[in-house]
Amino acid sequence: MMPHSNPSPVPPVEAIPDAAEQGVAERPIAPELALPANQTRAVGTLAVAGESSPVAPSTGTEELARELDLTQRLADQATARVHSARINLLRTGELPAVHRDPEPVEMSSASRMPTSEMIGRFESAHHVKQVPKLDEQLGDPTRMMLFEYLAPRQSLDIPGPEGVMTETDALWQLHDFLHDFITMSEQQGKGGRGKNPTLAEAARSILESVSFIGQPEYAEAAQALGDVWKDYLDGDPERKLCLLAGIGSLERYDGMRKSDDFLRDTILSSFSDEELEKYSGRIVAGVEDMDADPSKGKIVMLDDWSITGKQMRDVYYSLIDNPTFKAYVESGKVEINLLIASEDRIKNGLAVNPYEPTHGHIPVFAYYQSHEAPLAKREQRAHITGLHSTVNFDFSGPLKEMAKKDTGNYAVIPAIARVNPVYHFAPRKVEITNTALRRTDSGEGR
Amino acid sequence: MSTVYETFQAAQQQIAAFSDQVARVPEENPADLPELSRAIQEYASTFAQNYSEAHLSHENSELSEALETTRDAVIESLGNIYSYIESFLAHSTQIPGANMGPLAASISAELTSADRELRMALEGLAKRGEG
Repeated sequence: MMPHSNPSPVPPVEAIPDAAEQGVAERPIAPELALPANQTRAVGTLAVAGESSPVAPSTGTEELARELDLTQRLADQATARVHSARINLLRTGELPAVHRDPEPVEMSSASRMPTSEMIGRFESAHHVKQVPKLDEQLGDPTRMMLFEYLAPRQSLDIPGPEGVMTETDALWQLHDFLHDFITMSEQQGKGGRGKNPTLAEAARSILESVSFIGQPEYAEAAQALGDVWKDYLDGDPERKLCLLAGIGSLERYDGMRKSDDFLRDTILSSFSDEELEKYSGRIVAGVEDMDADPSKGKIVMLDDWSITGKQMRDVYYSLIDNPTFKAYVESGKVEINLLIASEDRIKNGLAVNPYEPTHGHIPVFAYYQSHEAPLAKREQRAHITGLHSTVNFDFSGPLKEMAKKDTGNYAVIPAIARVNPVYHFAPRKVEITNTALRRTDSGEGR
Repeated sequence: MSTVYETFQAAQQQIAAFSDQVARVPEENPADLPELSRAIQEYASTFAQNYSEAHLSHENSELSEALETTRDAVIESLGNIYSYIESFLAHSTQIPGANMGPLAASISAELTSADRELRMALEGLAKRGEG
């Protein structure tokens, strides 16, 4: 039987349902996504390493995982009920025995390759691996990270936070929504064509090909980018690296952080205190601080993903008249680093002028390559989205249309399509100057 | 039926009009923000619809990806502006008196970005005899 109930926000402490009550291990996957016969839905062991440590063992990846943890933010926002529920979950630290795998699964590190191999692939192939498919992610109920989602948008009402949900529940909600829409379309259509055939195709395309950056993927990719940067700097003591979170530093809404700035901060805050000291003055945040010759430096334009490419072009055009930036561009020492990108972007880079290919492309390096989705409408031909932020193009856009067709309103849009971006108001943890990398009051020492 | 060139040209004019409006909002009447937000959202839909109905003067399949990129970039900018205003309204308890300078700067930056994308498109189309 296919589940139809939508997961509800985390209940009060005393009523947290266990994984069995949530049906984690009993939910069938849509035929399109059936797991291979030999693949079980392994469940990792959640161990307790302290109140603020969601999972053990502690690794660099786990440090990053904690950076993404919403607990502190939820507490700051005085959502004490949710906070308490999460703390309780962390204290309990266990899933019911029926879900316990005898072999503990290290969150997001199980599939990681040796660092040297990873860096080799990153540099030669411009990417390291394919992002996991949705069926693999559905089969991983260790994805217990909570995220906050917004109320469905109704005309010009201001969409405030509506609730929180675990990543696992959100993925299942997405799966069920798409599966049900396809089924409904097939059943209600006439003449064998199905109702809303275009949207049903879009639903099938997302179900089969969504490229989802969940918490484990974000942590793994962020960790990898940090390793790549350290390796570059360690290759020559004279090298400098400019990590340009350019979108956030454009003249945009003051006080609202963007995904690029958050990603850079997340990566740098995972550095040990010794590493921060070691790379002080060699990692800078602004082009004006790049005093190294282009042969001894690199400018990295950073973000989680680049869907239309417009934001990266914004950064490029905002800086192209700067002589230093121009010199680095002309020396081929400006590149884009992303968590995920399409095969096309990875192979061809980002055109600075889509109408004039001869005007040049900025090389794109991404940890993950997205799944190809021929039905996706945008240049990248992919359905990319994440737990930290929702992509509108080719993801939440079509989901909204499906919800409208289904119910006439937006009430049932899956929560994962209305993520309240985790980075907008998160405090910065590492301050970058031209001479130092310093932890702020918000950044704990490592 | 309009050509793609005409559609982009009209969008450029509309974006210039929004820029004028944004420049006036902080001083004149900040309470106009929700209305501006609505107008921008509506125009995003209109632009998408106009684009889907527009055509090229000549058969030119090599342009399709670049044209889609322009369309998406414009829609993205308009969507970002809408989000900025929403967020501003959500986090400003009293709009009159709130510092709207950063918001206006954010919106202007998006409009400038959309204008740049449209300008590249218009130049690219003109070069291919579509102007």
